[in-house]
Amino acid sequence: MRQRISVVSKNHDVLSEDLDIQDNSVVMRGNGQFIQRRWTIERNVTLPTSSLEATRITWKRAKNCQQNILEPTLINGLNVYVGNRTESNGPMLPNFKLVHADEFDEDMIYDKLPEVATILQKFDEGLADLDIQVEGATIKVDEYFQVETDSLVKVKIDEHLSKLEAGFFSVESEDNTEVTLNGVRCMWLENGTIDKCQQTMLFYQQAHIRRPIDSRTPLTLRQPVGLHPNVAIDLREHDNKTQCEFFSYITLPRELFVDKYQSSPVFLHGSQDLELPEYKLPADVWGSETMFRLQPGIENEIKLHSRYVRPVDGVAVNTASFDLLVFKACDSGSSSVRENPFYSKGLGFEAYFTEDTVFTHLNTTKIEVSIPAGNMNDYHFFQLTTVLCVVVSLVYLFAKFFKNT
Amino acid sequence: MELSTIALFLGSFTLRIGFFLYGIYQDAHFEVKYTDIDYFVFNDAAKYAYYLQSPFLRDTYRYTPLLSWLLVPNHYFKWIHFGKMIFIGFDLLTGILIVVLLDCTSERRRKLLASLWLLNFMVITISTRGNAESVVCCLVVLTMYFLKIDNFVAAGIAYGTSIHFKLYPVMYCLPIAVFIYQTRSRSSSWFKNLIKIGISTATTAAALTFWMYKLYGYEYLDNAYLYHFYRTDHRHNFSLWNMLLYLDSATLKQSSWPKLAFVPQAAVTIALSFLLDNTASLSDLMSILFFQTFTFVAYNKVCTSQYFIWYLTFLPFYLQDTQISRKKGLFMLFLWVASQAFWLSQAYLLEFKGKNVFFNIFVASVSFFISNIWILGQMVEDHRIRNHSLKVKKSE
Repeated sequence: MRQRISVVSKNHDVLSEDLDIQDNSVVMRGNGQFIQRRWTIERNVTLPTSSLEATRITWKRAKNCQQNILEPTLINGLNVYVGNRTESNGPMLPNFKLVHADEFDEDMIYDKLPEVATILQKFDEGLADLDIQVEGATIKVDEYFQVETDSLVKVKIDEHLSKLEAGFFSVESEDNTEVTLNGVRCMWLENGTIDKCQQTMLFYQQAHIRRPIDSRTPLTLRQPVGLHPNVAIDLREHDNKTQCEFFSYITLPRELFVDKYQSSPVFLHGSQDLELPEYKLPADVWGSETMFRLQPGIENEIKLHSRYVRPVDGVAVNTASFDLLVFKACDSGSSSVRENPFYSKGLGFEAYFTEDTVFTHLNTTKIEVSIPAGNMNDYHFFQLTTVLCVVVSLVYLFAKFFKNT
Repeated sequence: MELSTIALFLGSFTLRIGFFLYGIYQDAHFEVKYTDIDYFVFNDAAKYAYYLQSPFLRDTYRYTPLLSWLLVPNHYFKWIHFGKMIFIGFDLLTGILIVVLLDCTSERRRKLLASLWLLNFMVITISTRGNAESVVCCLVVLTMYFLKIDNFVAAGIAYGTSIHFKLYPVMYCLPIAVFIYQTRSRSSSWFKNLIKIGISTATTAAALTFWMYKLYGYEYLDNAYLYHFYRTDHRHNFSLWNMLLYLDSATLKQSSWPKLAFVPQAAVTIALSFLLDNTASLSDLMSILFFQTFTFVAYNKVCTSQYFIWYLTFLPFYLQDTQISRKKGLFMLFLWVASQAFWLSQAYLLEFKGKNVFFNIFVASVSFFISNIWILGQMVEDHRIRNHSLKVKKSE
């Protein structure tokens, strides 16, 4: 098992002050740095690698923390993608299955990849995000987190590792697309001592560009909401450019659905039923994921529908929430987008786009809708009234039918 | 034909075309579509049929494939609204048959009663929005027409087709049989007639159903018929049963209410058949069918506005001899409309404002049910008193 640690500090000056390079370890003082910790494992399989299913498992904390600049755009919650990537299925349609859960569930991961159990023993889902990708016989586990100020991080080899490499960088320059990192990179020998540390400079093109919060595309849940929530996405500020298209990607919980006959999404996976109440859906249905193509220059509307929800004791309104991403996907025409040193594009909505696509995230929002639930305490009253109505009506009608006139 | 009758038909035709054109305009220019959601389902299913595939490939298509075949021209002419013209055609034909079947002494009264269908905005809206109810209504009235001209085989063919289209007309078989039996003093061939209509109905319904089964297999039976027996009717609708069934569908140990709901419905519809005696005319039969349908809809587990069309077809035949005063009649109509409006106001709050008004919806359903039952009781009583006084007159 190999490990690679990449640290990026937004603050250029303090990098050297925060580092203490010793014989067999590097100690770093915490200062809000972003960390990517990657383990690479070779799977112990006898099958030809081409026959193995590609898998990607991602976990993203729902709470709004600062975006780790090393991290790809992950979907909130736990997402397990299984299937094939673009190349094996013709030019257009990726073919994968998604299982989504709002809460972290170790068993869901171990079920697919028992090999990662030792790595995840110390994983804290409240503090870090996760992106596990399997291609062929190689598993890459990427953990993303931010170091707390004034905590100490000690990087050294341990008994599980055959190889360790760590890079400590600061952002030299960053514009819309290109990033330059400057720093040191250290390599460890198998006996645990540091082989060498050297100055390193990295350039790369970002595949995901995030807009600052104040310039986000306006997005509103139309009021009043009712049982058919509509989300309006205002793209009037955007022009039609030939190499770019606008999209919205949504993961919906069981309580909400898209009627594919009404609104023609680019794709709709997961639950597609148009009639059943939430509590009658099969237990293994987690919800659905869908993507819509949006028109620039106008206000776009996404129509959703709520299912009836399980009645509760008391007068209540349930809340269903979903994550909605609005992004612009542009052909960059440059193959360097895929040569990002920190992540590769995997299964997920990225799989629907060509390798040179650059995504500009215009808005990522968690939307909550309320769905009224019936009151179970009324059950006996409803039952009594209904039966009474039926019995009295029968007596009344039969009297009218057969009593002598 | 009288000039005023032609004017009535032309007027009702023009109204329908007007609504039809307005619908196309609204669909093109407004967010809320005029066209009924179900029409899009029929249209999508017809597309599969056009390409010689199963209409059941369209989710929620739960009707006979014949309906999707009717709309195949939509795709041949590449005009989605074409099928609505077919429904309008059935709707108008129903109106013409009502005029022919009405047994009035006064021409003016006949036209007035026929206008209840021909100029009824509810009927016009439903067929121009692309709802298929007019097809079944037309087949049922056609059955009555063939009974009038004593063509029992043709009556059976029309009736069997209507049962194949929608299951509910099957309840008419008992009153129709009782009616034919009650003609025994007037017609020596009553038994032969009964056998004729019986065999032709059963053969038509069975043949059509078997044919569709041969083409589309179990999927057809499941969607068109079986589904209606196991569906959960949880979404709000006018039915008295609705709230109980919604709460019930979510409990682990389900009660037997969903299965028992049809018992009172069956008891009343069956009992009504025995109001036909040996003096019964075809108009009496149609009044009984009106009461039966009214009962069926009032007691049904699911009830939506389009179901009202089913009994509106027969309303003119009941009204032609009614002795209910105008004032009382208007009060009955007011009750029916007001309790419905109350329900609709509450449903609006739930559906479009997201308010938790399930309790109010239940109260509204109960008041609509009670109004319906009282109105039904008054109408049946009126019908019996009138028949009784007729008999007394005859025996004098």
